[in-house]
Amino acid sequence: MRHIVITGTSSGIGFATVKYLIDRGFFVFGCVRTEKDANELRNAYPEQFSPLVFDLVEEEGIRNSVKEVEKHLDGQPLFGLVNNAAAVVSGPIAHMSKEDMFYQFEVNTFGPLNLCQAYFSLLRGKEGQQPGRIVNVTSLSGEIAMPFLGPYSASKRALMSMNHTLRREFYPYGIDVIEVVPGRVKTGIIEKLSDAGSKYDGTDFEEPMRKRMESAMEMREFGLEPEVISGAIHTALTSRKPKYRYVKPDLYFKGYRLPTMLPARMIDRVLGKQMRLLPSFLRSK
Amino acid sequence: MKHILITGVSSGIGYTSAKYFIEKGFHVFGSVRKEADAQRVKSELGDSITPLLFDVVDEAAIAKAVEMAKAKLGPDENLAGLIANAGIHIPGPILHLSRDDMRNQFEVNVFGALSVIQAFVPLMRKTESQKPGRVIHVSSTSAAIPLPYSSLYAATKSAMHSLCDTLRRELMLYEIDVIDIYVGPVKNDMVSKVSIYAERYKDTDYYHSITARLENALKNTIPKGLTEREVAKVLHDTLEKAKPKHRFAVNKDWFNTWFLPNILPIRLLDKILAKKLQLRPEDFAANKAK
Repeated sequence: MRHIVITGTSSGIGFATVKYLIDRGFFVFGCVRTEKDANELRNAYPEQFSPLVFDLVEEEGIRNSVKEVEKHLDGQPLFGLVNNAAAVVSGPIAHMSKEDMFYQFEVNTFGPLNLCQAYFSLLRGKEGQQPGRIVNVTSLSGEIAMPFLGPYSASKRALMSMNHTLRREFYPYGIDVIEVVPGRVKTGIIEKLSDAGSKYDGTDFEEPMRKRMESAMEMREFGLEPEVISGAIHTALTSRKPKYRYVKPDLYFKGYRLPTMLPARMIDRVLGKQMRLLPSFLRSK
Repeated sequence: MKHILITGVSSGIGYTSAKYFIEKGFHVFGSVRKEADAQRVKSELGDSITPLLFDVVDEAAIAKAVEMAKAKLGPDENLAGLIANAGIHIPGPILHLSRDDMRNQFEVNVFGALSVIQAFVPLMRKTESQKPGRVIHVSSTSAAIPLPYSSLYAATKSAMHSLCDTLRRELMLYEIDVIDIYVGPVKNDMVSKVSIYAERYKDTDYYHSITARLENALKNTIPKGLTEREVAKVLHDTLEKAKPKHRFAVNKDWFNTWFLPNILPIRLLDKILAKKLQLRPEDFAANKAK
């Protein structure tokens, strides 16, 4: 049986991917932060599933999870590690605290790197075994930085960079590292955004920030089904000759080709107008 | 009088740029971490530099420096530019780097750079007679082409790439422009600093490969690099230009270190790099057998 470790399985892409992989005959270790989430998943998937409870900001929890998986594998190699879990820190970058920046990167960048290190031996396997693969789920925000998603976009862009160096440094061990880049996904990060709204009242960014939240809530029903990303993750894990990255935009032309093709200064103006970030908005206050 | 702030002026690009801007008639606020460096820089560069004593990771010290700079600026004067130059490079194979290495690398190059920008933005707003200031981030070509053993450094520069985009878009409100410059290899003493680190990985599989990478840098990359003065000129021209590009690369060996790696299919580039840096499975096996 092929075994996969995947992080962030309590909701969204992670939750969908657990089912997707179980349906295709995998045994899945799903990482969650609370016992409650673990129990819910246990009840939903009585077979081919085992939860791992730890927080990505704690190294000890990560190390303990490796021991648990190793015991379960009992000499079999680990087929894949999927770094999917992410947090979203949102707000105007001019007022972002260092604490918030740290938290964003601890979860989205340092955590996944730490997992790559911790699961390295299990992925490498023993002499004669086929080494496993790593799949890092990043985001199109890493390519197209939207206002008020500064910390999130930067943490994902950093992970994109690490994806290259990981792939190059793990190459001699036969461990391939593949990136999956989702665009907007239904029931995705929007659910995690809601609490950031009023924190920046009283700053010059109060109105643009509120506008941003409103449009995010309006857009919550739009986007890809999480299963589309699960499919890309499955391909990355199983394809005989995988690409180095799979980009899955929600709208191929409008959401990906156009913004990465147009001059950046032009996009600045479009976004500035949309999000009330042009200097004239400040003057008119 | 035009004022700018340059972080990390004790040596390297920061020092040379401070000197260059002074020659062009600027008054420079230059950040240094040590009192001794503050005095040295002052005695070498004269009255046109005001050393600011702060480490980019120390928010309280940055706040004090802002007050100092504010007192020095005349009424109706602002900061014409902020050059976010200070940075560190923690090299090594990812497998053997610690979470604290990650934290340190990002705290200086990303969170620290952001703290400085946040703190000095109020001084860059336009005044009655002066245009709004510009932020220039000194990045690296490794943001586009991340090389083995520079993973954390490259990742911080990529994170800053994204943050520069966000800053540029959000600071439009204040008409403060943000420019991200990918600087290629520079002829300086960085390599002698990093060569010591190879010994730390003597007992790992990566040792021979790290040595190969360093030798390649010493023999090929560094001698063909830019001079610090050339970089300083680019920074100055970018600040003075009416319509600067939001992002660009400055590079000497443009074809080999920029064009080629950016145009080759990634999987092919991986193979070329692996061969050059002895990072193939057969290299590791051969080294083990030795």
